[in-house]
Amino acid sequence: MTAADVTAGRVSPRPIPTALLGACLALVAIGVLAFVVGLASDADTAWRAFHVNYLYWGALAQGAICLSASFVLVGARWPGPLRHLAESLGAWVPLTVVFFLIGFLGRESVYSPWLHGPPPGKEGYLSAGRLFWMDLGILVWLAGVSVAYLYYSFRPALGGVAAAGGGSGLLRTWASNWQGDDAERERCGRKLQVLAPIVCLSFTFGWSFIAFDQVMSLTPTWFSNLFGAYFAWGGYLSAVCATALLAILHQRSLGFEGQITKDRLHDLGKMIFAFSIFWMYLFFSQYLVIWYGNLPEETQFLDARLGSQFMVDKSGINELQLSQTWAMEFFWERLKEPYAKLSMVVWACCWIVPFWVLLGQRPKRMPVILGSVSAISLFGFWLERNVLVWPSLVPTDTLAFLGFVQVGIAAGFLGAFALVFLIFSRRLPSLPAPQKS
Amino acid sequence: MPTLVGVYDSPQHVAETVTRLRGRGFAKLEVYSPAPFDEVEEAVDPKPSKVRYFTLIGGLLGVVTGYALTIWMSLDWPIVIGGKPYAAIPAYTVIAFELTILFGGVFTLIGLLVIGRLPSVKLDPAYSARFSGDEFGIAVEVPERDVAEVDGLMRSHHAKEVGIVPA
Repeated sequence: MTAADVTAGRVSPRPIPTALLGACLALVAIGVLAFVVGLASDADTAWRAFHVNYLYWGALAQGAICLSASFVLVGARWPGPLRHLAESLGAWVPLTVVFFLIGFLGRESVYSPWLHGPPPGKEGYLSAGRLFWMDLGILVWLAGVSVAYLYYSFRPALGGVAAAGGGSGLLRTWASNWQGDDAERERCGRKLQVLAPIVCLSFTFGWSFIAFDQVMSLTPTWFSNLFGAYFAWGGYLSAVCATALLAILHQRSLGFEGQITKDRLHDLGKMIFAFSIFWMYLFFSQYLVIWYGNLPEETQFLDARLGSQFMVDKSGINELQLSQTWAMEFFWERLKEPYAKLSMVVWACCWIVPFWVLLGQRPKRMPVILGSVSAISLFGFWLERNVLVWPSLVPTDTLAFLGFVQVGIAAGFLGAFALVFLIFSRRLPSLPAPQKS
Repeated sequence: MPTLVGVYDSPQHVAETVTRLRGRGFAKLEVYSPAPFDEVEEAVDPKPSKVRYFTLIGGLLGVVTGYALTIWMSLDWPIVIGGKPYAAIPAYTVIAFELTILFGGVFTLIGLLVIGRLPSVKLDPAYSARFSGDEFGIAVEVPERDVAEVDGLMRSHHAKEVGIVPA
């Protein structure tokens, strides 16, 4: 395939490079192997690692559809080809339903803190049946809305397929009943305008409830109204980071030459910069009131992750030490508590690095720097999902999330996600070559 | 040295002319624009504005002041409130954050006035009220011998009028 075969605004199916395909399949094989070995040796660990990765990739993929929908909602023209790149990440969304169903088989390992004895007063809400049907409903709804959104977004680029009468599978289905370029563009544009706000609201409410049910409930006596928004925002921000990373990787891709401009990278950099501040802001606004109130039922969740140095804990402290709790030596001492250092790494990856590195104009425009920051943030959010889940289930072992089984399952998810992205962006229906601007 | 003024209709032509003039070495120039335009700003001074240093210093001063003020006052009159440490960093972060914004904002305004040499009580002799309407102006100081060349350069970049400002 050459540049001459690519028509602007039309899908341009192309083969998936053998090396990439092989790498993805190898990662998936490692993941499956690790999961099977894990189930045989330590089923609790395997199911918990599965749960974390299903949540991470699920929120990222749905966040990517929401990102595209927000572009449509505000009528943004600057993203150009970035919109379809983000949407390609969303091809994973229907699979989230499948992984939820699989993951529910391991409910004894994941929801153990409440499955056989929820705290008094929460029996109605914390029941396996309620969680299963409600979250399944949410995920099916999100998948339906997302597929419809993808259909209307990609449909105007399928004119070539319709004219050739060719294509197979999804491509042919999506290109059927073609009514002409202009008519399709107009019709699909109108449909997207209607779908975009629905996608955004569905993502926000849907993933908030999934966060309440599948993450917050793991410490069943703890509650935070903000937690859902905080979790969903993490998914959205990781989608922006993934889009930036993919944009940089597509700089020399066929048909994309000259389209991943410095201006576009600059804008993505601004989004990562600003949204990472907002992420930290959401955390801090919740943390501050919990710190102030100092009620055990509220502090327990943060205490298990950040350690007691971030809480008002006066046990064994004399008057002089109390007056010096902000001093550094005290701080370091308490970092030895489980998960505290890991939480610091999460802050560093998700906020400190994006904030300080992307503060200036030039780093945002440099692909190497923006790409590195995006990759660090993506890794940070993966760690963050681990920090949100593991301390509730294994409170004393900071490294419970590491091991062959856990890392293998993570690698499997990474391979599967990359494979779905490659199939969607290169085969079915494949990314449209950008209109030159 | 005489000052030449070119009058333009489009910011694009202004940007092109300024780039050419700067390339030729005529650095003492002033552009009048009815509204801000990225391409014009980029052509006049591609370097980032120095106002940002004022903002940075203001912001840093704000965060230090916020923490220092609150911690100093708490330690000066130590009262345990709600079982919190005297120097309660989480609570004082809000004050530090607010003062960062406040000082950063005020210093930005000061920087803007200092760098922009504002307020200006005397109007530039090259300025005309039409440059606050819908037209653009470029005023450039040129040596006597280059007047004809710059006049031609401006006209070749779609200046609709070129004149010399009376001294």
